[in-house]
Amino acid sequence: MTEYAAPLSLERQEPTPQWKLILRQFRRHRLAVISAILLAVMLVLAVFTDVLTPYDPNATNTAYAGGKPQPPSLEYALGTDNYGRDYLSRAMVGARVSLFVGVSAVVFEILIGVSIGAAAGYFGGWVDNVLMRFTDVFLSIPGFFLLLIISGVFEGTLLALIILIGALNWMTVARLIRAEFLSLKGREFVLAAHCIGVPGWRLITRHLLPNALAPIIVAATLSVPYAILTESALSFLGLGVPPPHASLGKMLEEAQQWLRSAWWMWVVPGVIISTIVLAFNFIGDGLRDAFDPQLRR
Amino acid sequence: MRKLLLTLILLVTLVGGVMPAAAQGDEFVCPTQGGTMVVSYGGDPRTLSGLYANDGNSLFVVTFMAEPLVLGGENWGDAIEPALAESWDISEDGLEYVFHLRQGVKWHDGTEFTAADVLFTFQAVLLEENAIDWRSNLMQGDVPMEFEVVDDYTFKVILSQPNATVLTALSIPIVPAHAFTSLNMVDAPFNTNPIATGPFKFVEWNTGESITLEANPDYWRGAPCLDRIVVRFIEGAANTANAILAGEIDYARVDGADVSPFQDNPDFVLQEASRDLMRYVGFNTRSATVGDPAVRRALAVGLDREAIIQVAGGGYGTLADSLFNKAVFVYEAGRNPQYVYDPAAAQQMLTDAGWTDSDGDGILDKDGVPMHVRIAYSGTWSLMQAVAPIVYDNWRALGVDVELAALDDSAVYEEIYDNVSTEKPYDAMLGGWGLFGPEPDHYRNYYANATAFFAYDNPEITALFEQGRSETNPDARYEIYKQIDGLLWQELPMIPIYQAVGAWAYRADLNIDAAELNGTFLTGLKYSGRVYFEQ
Repeated sequence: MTEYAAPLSLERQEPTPQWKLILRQFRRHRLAVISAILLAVMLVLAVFTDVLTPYDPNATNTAYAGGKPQPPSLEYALGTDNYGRDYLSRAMVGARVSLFVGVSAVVFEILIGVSIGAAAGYFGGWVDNVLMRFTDVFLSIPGFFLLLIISGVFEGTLLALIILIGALNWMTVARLIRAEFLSLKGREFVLAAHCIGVPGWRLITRHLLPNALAPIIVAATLSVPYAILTESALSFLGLGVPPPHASLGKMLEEAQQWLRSAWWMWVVPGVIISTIVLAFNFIGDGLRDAFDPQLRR
Repeated sequence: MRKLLLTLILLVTLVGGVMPAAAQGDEFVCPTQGGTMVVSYGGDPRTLSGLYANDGNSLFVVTFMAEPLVLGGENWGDAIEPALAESWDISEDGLEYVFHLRQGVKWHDGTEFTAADVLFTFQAVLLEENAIDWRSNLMQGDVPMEFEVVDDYTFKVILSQPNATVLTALSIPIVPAHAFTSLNMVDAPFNTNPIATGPFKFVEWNTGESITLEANPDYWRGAPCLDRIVVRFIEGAANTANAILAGEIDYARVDGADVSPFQDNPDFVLQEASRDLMRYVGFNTRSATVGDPAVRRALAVGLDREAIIQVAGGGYGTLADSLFNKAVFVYEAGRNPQYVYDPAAAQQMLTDAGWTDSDGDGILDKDGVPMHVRIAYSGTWSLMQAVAPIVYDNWRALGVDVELAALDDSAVYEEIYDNVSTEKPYDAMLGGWGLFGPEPDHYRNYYANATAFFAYDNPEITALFEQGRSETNPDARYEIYKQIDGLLWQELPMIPIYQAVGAWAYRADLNIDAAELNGTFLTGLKYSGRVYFEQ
C-alpha cells in the first residue's frame, strides 16, 4: 500500500538466476513443498532402511502372533502380520522397493524417450516418420497385460521389472521431446548456432536439450507415480520381489484375507502407496507451474 | 442322546471287532426317513466315473455312488472292509485270491451285479489306451494279474508272485459292463452319466451349479435315510462357511475359514477328524548341502513345525512323528522320538556335521561350500506360500542361505511333479500328499525311487520295501514296515510337518454319527446312507 520510490543503484544489477526464479515460483505451491519435504524424508529413510528398521523384516515371531495379525503396540509400532513379522520394518522395506523401482524405471524411461524423441525431432523427415510409427506401435500395446506376461516369464526380478516398466512407458516422453524440438528448431538461437557451424550432436546436447529440460522434468515426476502403481499392482498379483521379501503391493495382497479383522494390514501399505503417489503428483504440478514463465511474477 | 448313541456304536464296533466285518451295521435302521441334504464342494467334477476320478471335486461326488470290492485302498477309506465282495479266501501259497461277491446287489438301473462286471472293470483298467491311474495297481512288474470268473458270484485273482497289497490294490470302483459298448472308455457317455451300486444314484448335473443325487432304495446296506443329496459348487472355505450360516447348505468342510460362529452355537455342530493328508518339506537327498542325513536331522530340529501348523494350517493339524500317514496300518503314535524344535541344538548338530561359519560371512560352510538351500514350491498354492516364510526364517536363523523359489504352475510340473530325472534343480521342496490308504507299499514310489521328489534310493530301505510287498504273514509284514518307519525317521528324505485335520460344520438337526465322519474320504462320510434329519 505504501508508495515508495524504487531504490536507485548505480551499480550494475545482476539478473536473478533462472533456477532462483523457478525455486521461488515452486515455493508458492504449498502442497508441492510439503510433498517435497515428505519425499525427502522418505528417501532418507529408504537409503538408511537397513540401519533404521526396528526389526529384521523377515524375522517371524509366531509365538507372539499366534497365527493372527497383531495390532499396533508399544513393542510393534504398526503391529505384525500373521507370522509375527514387524509391520513397520516390512513397510519401510516395501516403500524402499517401491521408490527404487519407481524412480529407476522412470530414469530408464526418460533415457529411451529422450533419445528417440530428440532424434525424431531434430532430424525430421523419414527418420521422424520411422521413429514415430515405432512409437505408435508401442502405444497401441496394452502395456499392463504385456507386463503381466513378460514378468511372468522373467520370474520378475527387480531389474527386469524396472526395464519392463521403463520400456513400456517411454512413448509420451518421446512425443513430448519431439514436439519441443520441432518448435525449438525454428528459433533464432538455434538457427544462429547452425549458421556458425555447430555440429549436430553439440546442438542437441548444448542448445536444444537444456531448453527442453522443463517438460522432461515435469513428465518424469508425473511418471513416477504410474511406475510405482504398476510395481504395486504386479506385486499384488504375485510378481515382483521374490518371497519372503516385502513390497507394498505384496503386503496389500497378503492383507486381503484379513480385511475385516486387521485394519492395519491394509491401511499401512495403502497409505504409503497413496502418499508417495500423491507427493510425486504434487511435486510434478508445482514444477510445471514453476517452469511456466507466464505464471512467473 | 447323541453321546449315548455314539457310545453304543463304539461298543458294537468293539465287540464286533473280532467277527468278520461283514456283520457290522448291515441292520442299521433309519430313525427318520426323507429329506434333502445340501452339501458343498469346490467346483465341477472332471468326471463322474470312479475309474477316472482322481481329483477332489470328482472324488467327492463319486464316493456317494460308486463302490469297490473291498474298501481300504487309495481314496477308498482307511480300513480294509468288505464292500461288493462279501468275503475272500487266500490260497496257501498266497497266489490265489477268491472273492465271494455279494448276491442280489442291483445296479442303479436294476440290472444284477455279477462277476462279469468285475472282470470288465479290471480289463478296462488294464487297457493302456484308457490311461486309468489304477492300472499300476493291477500290474506285477510288466505282467498283469490274471482274472477268472468262476461263476456269477465268485471271482478269482491269480498272481505270479506273492503280494500282500492285493486287497488295497483291488480297491477300485466297479463299473457295470452293460453300460459300455466296448472296453475303451475314454469318451464313454458313462463318464458324465454314471450307473453304480452305491447308496445314492445320479440324477442331474447343472454345470457350474450343482449335482443332484437320489437315494437308491435297493442299496444292499439298506435304503438310505435321506431322499436326496444336492452337491453345490462353492469355492473357498469362507464362502462355504457363510453359506452354512445362511442356511443354504446343510453340511460341508469348513477348515480354513473362521469357524468361531459354529462354536457354542446350538444351531450347528462342529466336528473334527484327521485327514489322510500330509504336508512336508522334502529334500533332494543328492544335494551338496542337504545330502547328509545328519544335516537333515539338524534342519528338522531347527524347524518350528508347531508354528507352521498354527500359521499355515490355521491350527488344523497334528504334528507328524512318522514319514507314513496315520492311516497306514503300521503307524503308531509316539513310537518315533519327536524332533522337538530347538534352534540351539540344531546349531550344534550342524556344527557336529561339519558346517560352521568359518569365513565369518554369516552363512555356514563346509570345505569351502556355503550352505545354500534352494526351496522350490508352488507359488500358486496358498498353503505352500504360507509355509515358506517360516521355513525361510527358521533355517536362516541357523546360518543357512535360504532361497525361496515360488514357481508358477508350469515350472512346478517341470521342476517337481513331472521331473523324473535323478538330478533335481532344488535342494528342498514343499509339498503335500495323501489319500494313500492303509497300505504302506504305496510309499515305495517315493521312498525307494531315485527319480521321485527326493531322489532317494537307499538300498537297505528299498530291499525292505521289496520284502514287505511279498511277505504275506501280517505280523512279519508289520515288523518289516516298522523297521522301514524307524529307518526313514532317522534318514529323513523329507521332514513331515503335520497331518491335516478337517473341520466339518453341519446343521444341528442333521445326524451323521452313524455315517461316521471319515477324514480319509473326501466326502468326510463313510456311510452316507446313514445320515438322517432328526425331525
